[in-house]
Amino acid sequence: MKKLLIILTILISTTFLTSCWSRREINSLGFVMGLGITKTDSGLYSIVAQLANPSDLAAEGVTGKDIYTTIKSEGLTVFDALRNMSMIAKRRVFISHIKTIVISEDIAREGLSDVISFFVQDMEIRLESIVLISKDKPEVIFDTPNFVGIVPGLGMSIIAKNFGANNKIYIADLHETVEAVNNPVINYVTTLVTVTPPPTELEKPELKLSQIAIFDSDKLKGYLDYEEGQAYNLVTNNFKNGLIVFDYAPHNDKITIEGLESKADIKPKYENGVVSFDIELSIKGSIGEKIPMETTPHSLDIETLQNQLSQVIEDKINKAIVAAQKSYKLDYFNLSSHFFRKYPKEFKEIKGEWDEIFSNATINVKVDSCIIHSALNLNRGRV
Amino acid sequence: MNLIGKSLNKLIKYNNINFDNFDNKEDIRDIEFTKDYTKNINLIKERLGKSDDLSFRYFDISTIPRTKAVVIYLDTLIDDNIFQTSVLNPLINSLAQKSEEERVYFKSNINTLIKQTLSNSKISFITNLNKAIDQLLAGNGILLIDNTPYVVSLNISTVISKDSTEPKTEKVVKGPQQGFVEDITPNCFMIRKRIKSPDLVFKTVNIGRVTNTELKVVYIDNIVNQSIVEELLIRLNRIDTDGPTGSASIEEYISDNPTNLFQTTFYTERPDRVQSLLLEGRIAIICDGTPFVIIVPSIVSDFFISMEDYYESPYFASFSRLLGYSGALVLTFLPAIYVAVTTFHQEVLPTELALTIAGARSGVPYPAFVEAMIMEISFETLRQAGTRLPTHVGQAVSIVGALIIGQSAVEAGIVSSIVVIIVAMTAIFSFTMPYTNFVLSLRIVRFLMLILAAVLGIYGIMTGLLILSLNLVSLRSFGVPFMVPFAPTSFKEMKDVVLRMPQWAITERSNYIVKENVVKTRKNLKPSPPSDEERRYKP
Repeated sequence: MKKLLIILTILISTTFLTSCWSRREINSLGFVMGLGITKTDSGLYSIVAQLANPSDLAAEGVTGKDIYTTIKSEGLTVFDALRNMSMIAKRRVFISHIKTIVISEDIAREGLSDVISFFVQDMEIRLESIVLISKDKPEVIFDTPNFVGIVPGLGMSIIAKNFGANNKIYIADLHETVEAVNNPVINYVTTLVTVTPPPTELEKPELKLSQIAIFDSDKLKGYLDYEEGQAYNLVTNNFKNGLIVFDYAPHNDKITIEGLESKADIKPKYENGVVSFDIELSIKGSIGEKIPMETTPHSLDIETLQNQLSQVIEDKINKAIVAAQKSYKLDYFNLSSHFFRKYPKEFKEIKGEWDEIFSNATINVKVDSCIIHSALNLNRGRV
Repeated sequence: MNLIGKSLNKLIKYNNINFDNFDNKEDIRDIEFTKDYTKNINLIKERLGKSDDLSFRYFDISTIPRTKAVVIYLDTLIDDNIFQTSVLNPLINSLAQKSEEERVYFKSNINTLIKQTLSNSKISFITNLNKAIDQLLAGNGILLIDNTPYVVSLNISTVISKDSTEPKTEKVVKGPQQGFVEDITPNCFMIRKRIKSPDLVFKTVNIGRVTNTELKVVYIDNIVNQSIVEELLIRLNRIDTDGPTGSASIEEYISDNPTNLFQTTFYTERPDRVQSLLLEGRIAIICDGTPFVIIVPSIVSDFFISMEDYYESPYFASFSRLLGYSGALVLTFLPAIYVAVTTFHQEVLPTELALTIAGARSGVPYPAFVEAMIMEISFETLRQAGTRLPTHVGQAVSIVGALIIGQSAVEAGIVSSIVVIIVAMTAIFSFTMPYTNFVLSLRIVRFLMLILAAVLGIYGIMTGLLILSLNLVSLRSFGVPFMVPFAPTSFKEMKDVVLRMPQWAITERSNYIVKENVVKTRKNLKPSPPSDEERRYKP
C-alpha cells in the first residue's frame, strides 16, 4: 500500500508539477518560411523573416501579399537580431520550418562562417532548408508576391527541388553549407537568387534561381554561366535530366538530348609531385527534340550522334575546367576531396598550395555517351 | 536478439510436432453389444457419460413378466413430445391394454414387439457401439432392452431447428445468420448440432440462491486443457449470491484480474464463433437468460476477429484484421498525438500540414487539449444518448449532434475543423471492432492519454504507452497470457490471428491454450492436382 502511494505520488507530481512545460499552441506560432541575412552600414546584422499567415493560407481565394508578413530587425549578432524580432512579431517566431535562407552578397564575400554558425548552434532549426545568395537586399527577394498562392520562401525551395530539370544551377542545403564552411579545404557552391522583371505589365516580378555562385572555402568568388553550371553538375555527379543542345554535324540539325543517367568517375594520380586527374564520364540520354534544317527527310546515325555528344560534353567540361584553372584559380569542383581519399598523407603536405597545384594539374576528360531511345515519332522529327 | 532466438526455437519446435497422432485419431475400438443389459448401458456411459446432457429414461415394457428397458438420449437434441407419444406410450400404455397371451409372447420375441408396437417413424436395429453413439449424437434415442444383444435407434430428434434469432451485435454478410437466444435449451441444441462429437461435454452448474440460474459449461474433452476446466468449475462453484443478472456478472465473478481496466473474458452470440473457439480448446459458459456466451480463456486477438473473416477471401480478411488492429491504435492515440504535436512538437509536422492546422486553429479560444476534450466528451455523450434512446429518437439525437454541435461549433470558431476530423476518425475506428469489452477500455485509456499528452507531450504518450503495455502483458486469462501471440511472441500463431491465412495453412491450435492435442488439420492440404496414386484409387 505504501509502495503504491509512493508510486502514485511520483506519477501525479510529474504530471502536475511540470505544468505543461514549454507548451505553445500551434496558432500562437509565427512560422518562419524564409530568413534573409544582410549587414547594415553600421555593421549590425539585419535579419528579414518571412512569416506565413496560416489563416489566410487556409482561407479560399487569398493569394499574393496576404499570405505572408515580412518583418525586419537588427542586432549585434544573428541570434540577437532574431530575438529583437520579438519586439515586432505578433507571434512567437518559430524557425523550425525555415525553407530558405538568403544571404546577401556582401556577407558572402566576407565569408559565411560568421552567420552560419548560429544555424548549427540553435536547436530549433532543421538542416534541410536551402541556402541562397542574393545581390538584392533579402527583403526585396522575400517580398516578391506571386499569383500562385505560395509564400516566396516556400516557393524558392520548390524551385530548388526542380533543379534536375535544367541542371544549370546547384542548390546547397544548410547541412552541406555547414560542412563546407567548417572545412577549410572544401569550396562551397550554391546558387544566386534574383528578381526577374515581369513578362507583361499585368504579371508580377518573379524570383529566379539563376546562376551557381562559387566560393573560395566560404568567401564568394564569382558566378558561373549555364555551360559551366552544367559542367559542374556533370563532374560532381549531380546531373539528372538536364538538356544538352548541339548541332548534328552531317545535316546541321538542332538536336536536344535529355539526360537520363550520368556517372562521373574521378581518378586522381600523384606521380613525382605532379597531380593529375582522369575524369571518366558515362552518360545515358534520349533524343528529346530534333529540329531538321534540311527539307529532305533523312535518318540519324546514332553512333555518329553518340560520338558527337561525347565530344560536346567533353568540350563543355574542358572549357569549365580551364576557366576554373586559369581565371578563377579555384577548385570549385572539389577535386581535392577525391585526391584526399586516395592520397591522404600526400594531401596533408600539399594542402596549403592546393589552388596553385589545381591550376597546373592535368585533367583528362573522357566521355562515353549512350543514346538509348529516340523520342522521335515515325516522321523522324517532322510533325 | 533474444526475441529472434526464442521465435526461432519455436519455429523449430513447430517442425518437430508429430502429425502422426492426427492420422491415428480415428482408431477407436468398436464393440459389439452383448445380452448383458447393464454392460451395454455402461458401454455408452463410458463414451458419453462425461456430459450432463446424456439422459436415461428407465421404464418397464408392459410384457408379462415386465421387461426392463431404458432409452438413452441427449436431452439437448430430442423432442419430448415425440418421445412420449412414439416410444413410451406404445411400450407402456398401449401394450398394457393388449391380451395376456400377446404380452407373454412379446416377452420372448422382442424383435416382433418392436416391429408391431413401436409407432416411431424411423427405427433401426444396431449391434455395435460406434453406430449407436453416432445415432445418439445425431439426435436419436437408443432403446436398450434387457437380455437383448442389440439396441434400437429411435427417431425422437427435434426436426426444426429450435427458435434462434439473427445475431444483433455480430452481423456477417456471407455466413450463417443464426444467433443465440435467451433460453438455454435452444442454445445448447445449436452447439450440439454443430459439434457431433462424443467428446463434447456439457456440465451443469446452478448459481444464485434466489434465482437458481442454470449455467452450462461446454468444452471438448479431448482438446481442452483439463486444469483450466477444473479451475473454472472451482471458480463457478465459489459464486454465492442471490442471483447473477446474466452472463456479464458471471464474467466479473470469474475474472483473473477483477480490478483491471481490461476484461479478460470474451463473449459472443454466434454459434459458429463458439464452435470455432471450442475447437481451439476454449471453454464456453452458457447462462440461462442471456444470448451472450462467455468464452474463457480469452486472448486479446479475440476482440479483433470477426466471424466474417472466415467467410471472405484470406487476403481481404487479413487486410480487415490489420485495419482492426490499427483502428485500436488510432482510437487510443490519435487525439493524444494531435494534442502533443500541436502544443509541443510543431517541428515534427510537415510544413504544409503545420500551416493548415495553424490556419484552422487560428481564432479558436481554447488550447488544443481543452478543444479535444470538449469534442471527445460531447461525442461520447452523443453516443450514449443515441444508444439509450428508442431508435427513432436516437436518430434525431445524431442529427442534432452531427449538424448542430459539429458544424456550428466549427463555424462559430469554438473548435477547429481539424479536431472534429480527429474525433470523427477515432469514433469510426472504434467501430471497426465488433466486441465492446476491449474497445470500452480503450475509450477510457484514450482520455488518460489525452491528459498525459497535454501535460508532457510525446514523452507523456510514451509513458502512457509503456504503462498500458506493461498492464496488458501482465494480464492472464485462466493462466493464459492475455497478449498471446504478441507477448509472448509467437509468429506461428499470428498466422490465424494477425493475418488470416487460408484454412489449410493453419494446422495447429495455440500452444498456450492447449497443452496436448495441438494438431487440428492434416499437413499438406494445400489444394493441388491429384497424384497418379490418388487417381488410381477409386472409393
